[in-house]
Amino acid sequence: MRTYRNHIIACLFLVLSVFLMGADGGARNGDETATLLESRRMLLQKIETLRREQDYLLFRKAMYEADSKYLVLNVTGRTGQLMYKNRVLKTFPFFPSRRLADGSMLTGKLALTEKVDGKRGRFRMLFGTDLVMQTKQAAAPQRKTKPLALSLAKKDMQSVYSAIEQGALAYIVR
Amino acid sequence: MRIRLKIIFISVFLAVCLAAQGPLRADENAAQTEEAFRLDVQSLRQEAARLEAENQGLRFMLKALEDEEPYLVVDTEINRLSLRQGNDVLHTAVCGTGSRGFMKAETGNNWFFETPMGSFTVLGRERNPVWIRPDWSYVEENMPIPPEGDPDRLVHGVLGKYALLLGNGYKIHGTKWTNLLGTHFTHGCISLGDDDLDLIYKSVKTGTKVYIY
Repeated sequence: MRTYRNHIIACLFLVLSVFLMGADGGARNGDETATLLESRRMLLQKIETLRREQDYLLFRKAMYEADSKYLVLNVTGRTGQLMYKNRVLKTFPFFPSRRLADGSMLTGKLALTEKVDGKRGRFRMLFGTDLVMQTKQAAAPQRKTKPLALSLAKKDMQSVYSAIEQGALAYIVR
Repeated sequence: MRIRLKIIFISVFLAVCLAAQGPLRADENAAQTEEAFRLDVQSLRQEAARLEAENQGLRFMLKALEDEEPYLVVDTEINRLSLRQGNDVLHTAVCGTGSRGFMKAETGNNWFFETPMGSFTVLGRERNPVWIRPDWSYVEENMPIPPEGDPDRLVHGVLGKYALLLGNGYKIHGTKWTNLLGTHFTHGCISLGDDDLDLIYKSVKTGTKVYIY
């Protein structure tokens, strides 16, 4: 009777140890996988940031060697710079037509496709269908649709409008 | 009885072993997935390191192309001259630039009074500059044009205390028409008020870059 009980205990112990071993391994694997996934996510984010930075650095390098004026628009700082080679010719503030915190915010290089000299010094510069730079209009409705419109003070817009030609490049940075 | 117990024990043991196969196989799959993730993370780390190194190289290259020399910027649209250094504006002055007017002489000569645009260099600095009256100045006042080199062409005291030479007769100089500063009133030169001219003259040297747009 005693031997029988010993066998039963041995069996239970064996079963328990096997299950405990498995349970421990699974949890450990799960933890490590989660850590790796997190590292992967962070690295992908970092790579994306580095790629964007590289694109901007390459743009600057190209413009330092080119012979045309260009714009650098910092949408988070809400300031723009009119540049020629490595020199800042003008710094100006601007006011975006919509909130710029959303993920859809455009970045990168755009070319000036059209200059419009409107009535009473209302200048507009179109960068494809994505961006418009225009003279600030008092009490203008805040449009929430595309394209993103950047409004500049009249004198700033006047300067920038006269300084850059169709085909000139603008680079939008965050 | 004992044999029966042994059979039961062995059966239970085999059943447990078989049952353990499942989790062990799952563990093996998880380990494979984990290894794949690890390799993926490793290659991403390498990619990030490569990009960081490339960007660092580009930053160095751009830094080498930059300099800390002050330079002048003239905005002919709103008549402002600024002394800048890097991203800093050291001084801004109201200036006068070309009137964008057109003049035609009976002799057939034409003049368009526009400030030239582009990238220039200060070629020289003058104290108490002397104005050598050009032909258009005589035409403008309906006076006969004297020959080249005529001493009548030399006029003292109209260009202010200093002048910065930009080439082709264009200068940054003073003016007696200070009430017109901020407008397009010159014949192409860039005019400044006395105080601004004083500061600008002392801040730049021969070789300083001037960007006019």
